[in-house]
Amino acid sequence: MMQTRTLGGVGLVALLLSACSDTGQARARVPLYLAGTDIEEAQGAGDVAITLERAALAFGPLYLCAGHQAGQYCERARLEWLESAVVDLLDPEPYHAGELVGVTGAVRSYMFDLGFASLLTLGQPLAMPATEDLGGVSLRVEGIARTESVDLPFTVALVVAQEVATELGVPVVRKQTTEVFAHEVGEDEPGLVIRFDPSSWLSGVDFSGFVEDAECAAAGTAVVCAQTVEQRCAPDGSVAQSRDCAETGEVCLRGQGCAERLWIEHGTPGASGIVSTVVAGTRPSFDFRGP
Amino acid sequence: MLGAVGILLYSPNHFRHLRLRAIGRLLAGLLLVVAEARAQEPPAAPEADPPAVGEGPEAAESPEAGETPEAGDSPEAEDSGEAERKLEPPRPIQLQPAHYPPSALARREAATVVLLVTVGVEGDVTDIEVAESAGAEFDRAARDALARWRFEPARRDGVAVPARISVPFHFDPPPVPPEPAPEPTEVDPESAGETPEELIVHGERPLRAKVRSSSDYHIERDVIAAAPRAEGAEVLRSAPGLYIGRSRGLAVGHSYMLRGFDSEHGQDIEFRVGGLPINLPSHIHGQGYADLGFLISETVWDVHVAEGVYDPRQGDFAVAGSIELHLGVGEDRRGVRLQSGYGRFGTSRQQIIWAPEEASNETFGAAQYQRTDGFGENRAAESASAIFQHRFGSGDLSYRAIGWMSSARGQLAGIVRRDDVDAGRICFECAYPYPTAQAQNALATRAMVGLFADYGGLDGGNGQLGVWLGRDDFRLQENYTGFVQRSRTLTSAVGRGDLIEQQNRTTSMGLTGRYRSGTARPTEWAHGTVEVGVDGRTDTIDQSQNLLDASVRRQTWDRRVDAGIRAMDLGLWGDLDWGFRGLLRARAGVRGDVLAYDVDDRLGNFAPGSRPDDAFHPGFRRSAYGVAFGPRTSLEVMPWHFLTWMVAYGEGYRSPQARMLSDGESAPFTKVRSVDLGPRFDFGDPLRLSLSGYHTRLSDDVAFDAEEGRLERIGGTQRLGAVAYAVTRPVPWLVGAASVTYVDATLREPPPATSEEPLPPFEPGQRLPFVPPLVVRTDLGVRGELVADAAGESLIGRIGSGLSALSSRPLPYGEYADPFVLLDASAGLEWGAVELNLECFNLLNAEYAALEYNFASDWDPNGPRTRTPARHLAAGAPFSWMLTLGVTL
Repeated sequence: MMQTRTLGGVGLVALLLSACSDTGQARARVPLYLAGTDIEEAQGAGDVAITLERAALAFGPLYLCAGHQAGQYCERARLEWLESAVVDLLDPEPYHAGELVGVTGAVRSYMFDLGFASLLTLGQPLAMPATEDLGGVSLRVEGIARTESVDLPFTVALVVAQEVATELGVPVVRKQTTEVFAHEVGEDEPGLVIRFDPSSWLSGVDFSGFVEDAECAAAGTAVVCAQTVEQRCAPDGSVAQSRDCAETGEVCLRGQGCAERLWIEHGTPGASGIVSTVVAGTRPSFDFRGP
Repeated sequence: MLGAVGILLYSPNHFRHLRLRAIGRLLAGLLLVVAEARAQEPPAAPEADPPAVGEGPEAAESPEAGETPEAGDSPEAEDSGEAERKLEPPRPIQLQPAHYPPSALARREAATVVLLVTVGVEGDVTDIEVAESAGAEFDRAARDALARWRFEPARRDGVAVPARISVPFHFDPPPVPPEPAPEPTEVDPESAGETPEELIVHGERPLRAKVRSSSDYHIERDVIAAAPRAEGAEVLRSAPGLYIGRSRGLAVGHSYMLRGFDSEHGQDIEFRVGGLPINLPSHIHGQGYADLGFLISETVWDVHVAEGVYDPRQGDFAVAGSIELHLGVGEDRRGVRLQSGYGRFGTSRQQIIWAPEEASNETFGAAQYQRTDGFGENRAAESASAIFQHRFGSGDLSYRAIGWMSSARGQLAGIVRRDDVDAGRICFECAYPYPTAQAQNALATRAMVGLFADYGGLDGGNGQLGVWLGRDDFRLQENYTGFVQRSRTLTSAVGRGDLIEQQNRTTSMGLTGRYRSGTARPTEWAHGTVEVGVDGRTDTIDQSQNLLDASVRRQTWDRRVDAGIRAMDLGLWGDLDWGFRGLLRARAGVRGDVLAYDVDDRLGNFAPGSRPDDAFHPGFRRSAYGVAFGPRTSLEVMPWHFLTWMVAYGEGYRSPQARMLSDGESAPFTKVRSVDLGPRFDFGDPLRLSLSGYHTRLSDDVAFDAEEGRLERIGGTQRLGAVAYAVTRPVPWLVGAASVTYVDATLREPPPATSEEPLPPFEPGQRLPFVPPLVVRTDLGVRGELVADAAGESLIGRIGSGLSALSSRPLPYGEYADPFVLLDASAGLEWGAVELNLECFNLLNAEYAALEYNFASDWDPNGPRTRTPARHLAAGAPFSWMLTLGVTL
């Protein structure tokens, strides 16, 4: 009995001491909201108007860092979110994706991956669950590019991951040096809204280049498009075979012929431009005022 | 109060002469012993005739009679030949004052007790009898004091002989009157022969106060023996404000916390064992690394804990304080003792202690082997240690040889993330399943030897000269952070597991010397002594730190440190100790240390990413030099006999990790300023109580950095705290001790954020991480006779307990470690030469973290990397028991 009281007394005192003490920083949990932008039209290269039908991005993990530079100077992050989620880039309404956890204090930079986390321990990036919803890619955009000659349906399906060997383990998207990003994270944050605007992501894609209005010619390509008509060319430049892709609801793609739609994937023309724009172009906005 | 009275031939008029003689004899004696050891020849036949066989067995069997030709060889022999033709009485060299019994205070009577005691040829005290009694309470006070005395033995014709002497203790009620003048010794040479000599010797207060502040503590043998100790070093748990734990098996040093200092492996505490310095400077695993794993608790005689830095003898690492363990085996344990213990988790401990019955308490040899499967995973370990100590010599000089060797190897479970434990991804006592975690282990070997010459002069002056030599090898493989490291030397090598390999080899040698004068009495109302001393050591250190790939034959995949260090520390001090009418005592000392470093940093300037390989050779050799200097003062006021108020101020230092120094840098020592104030109440055995408030300020502190696996600088710190410590022995069969320590430790100037370290773990003004604000310790021991005659032997029973409680500890990044309470208990029976003990540790089976940190790690190689700080723990041992059978032959 006596011992129990002794232990109880010690415990009580210890509890009181813990409650009174100050260690400078505190545990922080910040609700994370993700949102897109209310857009229907985007601009491609050469004033090609693009109607977006679907745009989705696999997002995460995310790290908020204390230093002005993320990357390898963010071995210890202030806040982190290790999950992944699909962002509907065309939906402006923020939705709750999870919580950033970490400690209070200033954050001055960020870095994140797009569904493929680069790990020090794996040669290939780790595919997060959100990428499964997008068919194994980071970014999936579907729409119609309205060129002068044809309306070109297209699908962008790209993996955006860290590929620089010396930066293995470092998230692929980081705050730019000229970018303003600073916030003092407290213990009671209403939430962080990260809003993506994909309207410029396709601005580097020359959709006109995927279509053509050409005829077979000697020493020319084997397949040419005369707008919507696919022509398969004989070696002497004559038309060996032709068909109108529009009759089957298809489009004629330069060098390819009839196709259901244009696929921009890893290794295809336009892919690297989109990846570069996503990684190094316009960044999402960060708003600590909550939704 | 004390019969005070001094010894032998003291005379202020030849004070200086005697002092010079003392130093000369001390040096000569030491050289003599060293010379003898080097010669390694059989002992010469005695030139002087030993006492005739039949005069007494002690004389005939005394090895010194034939082996120590001191009479003929000593430089002193020429001018002391006449003196050696007669009997020289034993002289006390280690004195313990007798305390006026509190129970007699009401009567305020003076009393004299005369004790008869036999002083053996080694100066030990046996067969104490009361020749003239003054009542049980005075008799007991006198006996308790005399039992702790040590003498230079009596000599006849230069040969040590046993002597039966009488020692009077005179008790005066408070206030203490001025001490009477010493009286000459009465010697009766004719009485020597078949019976021990009977002499009259007068005792005196120790020439030098052992207590320098209200935070000085002597943990005596009965308190040490009260609670069970899983290993020798755990005797330190009885020190107020000190917590000692061992979370990494038998081969990695203990973790120490002392009154607001997280000393890690010893960075803030100066350890000495039997006079040998234990801390290792610039150790790769932690500055001042001190592994006390070699200790065998049964050979720890007592512990002196000096918290704060108020004594000029305190040197490097005496930041939180100093701890000195004296080794010895008591009379009740002498002989050949075999002990075997078995316990939970496959733990066994085999021990042998050999302590010749005719030798002094300081003479013994001991060896121990222990092994364990360990609790949880990956914790099997083995260790062995051997210690010897021998006190020998006679006359003014005696010698003490001491040495020990130890080795240990253990697997390490390492640390685990608390969130993994909470989520059920790993059990509390488990290790991560990856090769980089399973490969954690440590190996440590160390050996030290020392030879000390102790001088006790006729004028009461005393001194010591000592030399020592040490060798330490340490290798550790430990992974704190999982999989976050990148190779700095191989650009494509990443994520192979952060298995840090640390190696450290230190060869040390040193010397120590001090001399304290006899008491000078320039006036009737003042007396005092002066001391000068020197401490010196040189260390040759080779150390490295690498990253190993545990999955591919421990390949080295990064090199972090490859350095050689030559270090020297030479300290000099002086100290005045003066008393005024028994009411006031003042001490003023000063100490200066010169430290020099030569660092061969073989990986210095290595920057593969920015410089071509053929531009230069890696390596950065540098040297540094510095002086640490500070006063050590204290004042003691004794208004009543039972109360002493003490105030003390001191400045000390801690040497830097040499690799941190730049070329030509004035070595930036950690400067510590400490002040202590408090009363000590002494009511004798019923209660001794000390209360102390203290403030300590450090110019530059260090804390453990898990990502590097070593200590890193964290800036200035301060501590404001209080300690209460009480010891009670209300009845002869019961001893209890309790301490409560509270401290408010804060960080003053942590390093600011930088581009390379944008998220520093510390902020100005925050509570110091890893430091428990509250530490509570209690020890309780009961020992008594159960059956007076059980088959011809008495049956003695004993029980004991020790309780340690630590409050919640702040951690970096705003976290807290959980508080915990550990209760150990034991029960034992002694029947003649046989002893049976059952010891239980962590009786409450508390699930606690022996270590807890907060840092960023990634222990999931197949999942997204976490980068935020998280709590990590090293599990403490759960409930365990050990049954031990001991036999004394």
